[in-house]
Amino acid sequence: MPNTILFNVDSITADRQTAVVKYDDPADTQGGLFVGAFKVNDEAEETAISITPDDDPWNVTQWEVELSVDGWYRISGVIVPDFDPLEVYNQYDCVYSDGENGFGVYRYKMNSPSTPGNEYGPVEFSNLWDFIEDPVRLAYNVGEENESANVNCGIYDVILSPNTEYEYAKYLASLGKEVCSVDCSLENLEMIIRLATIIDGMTVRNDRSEMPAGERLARRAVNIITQMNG
Amino acid sequence: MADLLNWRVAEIATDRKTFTLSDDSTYYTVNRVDFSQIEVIVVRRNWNQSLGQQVDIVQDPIDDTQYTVRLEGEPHNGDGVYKLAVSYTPSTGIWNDLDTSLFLTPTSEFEYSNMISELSEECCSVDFRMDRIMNLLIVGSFLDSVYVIKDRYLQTSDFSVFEAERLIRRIESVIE
Repeated sequence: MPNTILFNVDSITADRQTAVVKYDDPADTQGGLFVGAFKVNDEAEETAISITPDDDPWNVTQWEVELSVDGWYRISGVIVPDFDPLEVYNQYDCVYSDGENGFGVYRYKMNSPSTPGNEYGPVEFSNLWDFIEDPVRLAYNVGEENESANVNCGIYDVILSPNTEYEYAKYLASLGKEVCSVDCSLENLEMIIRLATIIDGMTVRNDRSEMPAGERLARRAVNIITQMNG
Repeated sequence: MADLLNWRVAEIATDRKTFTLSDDSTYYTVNRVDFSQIEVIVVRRNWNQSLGQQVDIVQDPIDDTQYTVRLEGEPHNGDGVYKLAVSYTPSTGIWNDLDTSLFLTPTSEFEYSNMISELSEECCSVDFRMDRIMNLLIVGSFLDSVYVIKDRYLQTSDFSVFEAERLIRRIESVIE
């Protein structure tokens, strides 16, 4: 079930430190919901960042993600269905055990479809089930041999530019007066146009899912802002 | 009666060659309109205030009040101002007519995004030169002007539609 969970950044707080992330419910939301947030560099290497809540797999409708710098962010998540002893499971199918007989996500090992029944539940029978340490990583198996076909997945990549936009607005405000004066500096106006084009560039890269290029623009924008403020 | 209708461009195809016209107003069901009697015509508007070629309606209709229309590509890129006329003569004798303009700039917007994408890299370089992005600023300003004219047209239905067509042709020249 590739990308059946559709995340979106609903808002960014005024201090630009936190993004509020929501998601559109896929049709089947029964089970455990696990979500992770990452800052990604231009070589697509992830660094985990704080996301809250991160310990409640039930009934969560939004999360707060800690932002540091502008650039490429990734929200990944899975919804793993509850264990059903009467269900037919295929190899790599995953189940969520809600605490009655244990707690966590387990992946079916048998290479032929079968119904485990109560006595072969995920916790009691480790010959049939592998415990999954980090369920969010299941989202990355989509299209791979070990894809868990019964799991709803979502990987959402986005370029965020709140700090660059803030600095742009600040610079614009300070230049507003200068533009009215007779000795208005074209150099400063050029800087504004450069920054505006870079912000637009990040938006275009985001729209076109060209994330590494968007991330590089964000990093370079920091240099230009430093130069402006210097 | 035409005020009750709500014809609009619902969607432009990703290849920018066709667009979908639709009307989601309740007028048709309330008045039990016979859809076979609706006539939809789309015509290009030329910059010199004359009407151009009638445009193909390639799918007629998809779903009662939804039509797929081909963006007229030659000799232009398909962007431009189009006249939309919708008429209906139902058996009850009531007659409605809608005559409006559509402002379509998908290719200009696509090319503008391409320019932004390329030139934003240039804006990061230390040997940035302002003249390199002049065309970008020109296209952006012209597009903004088209949007302003469109807004004003929708409010006042004045004849600035032809100015919009002129601007769209200038954008095409700059991009070329």
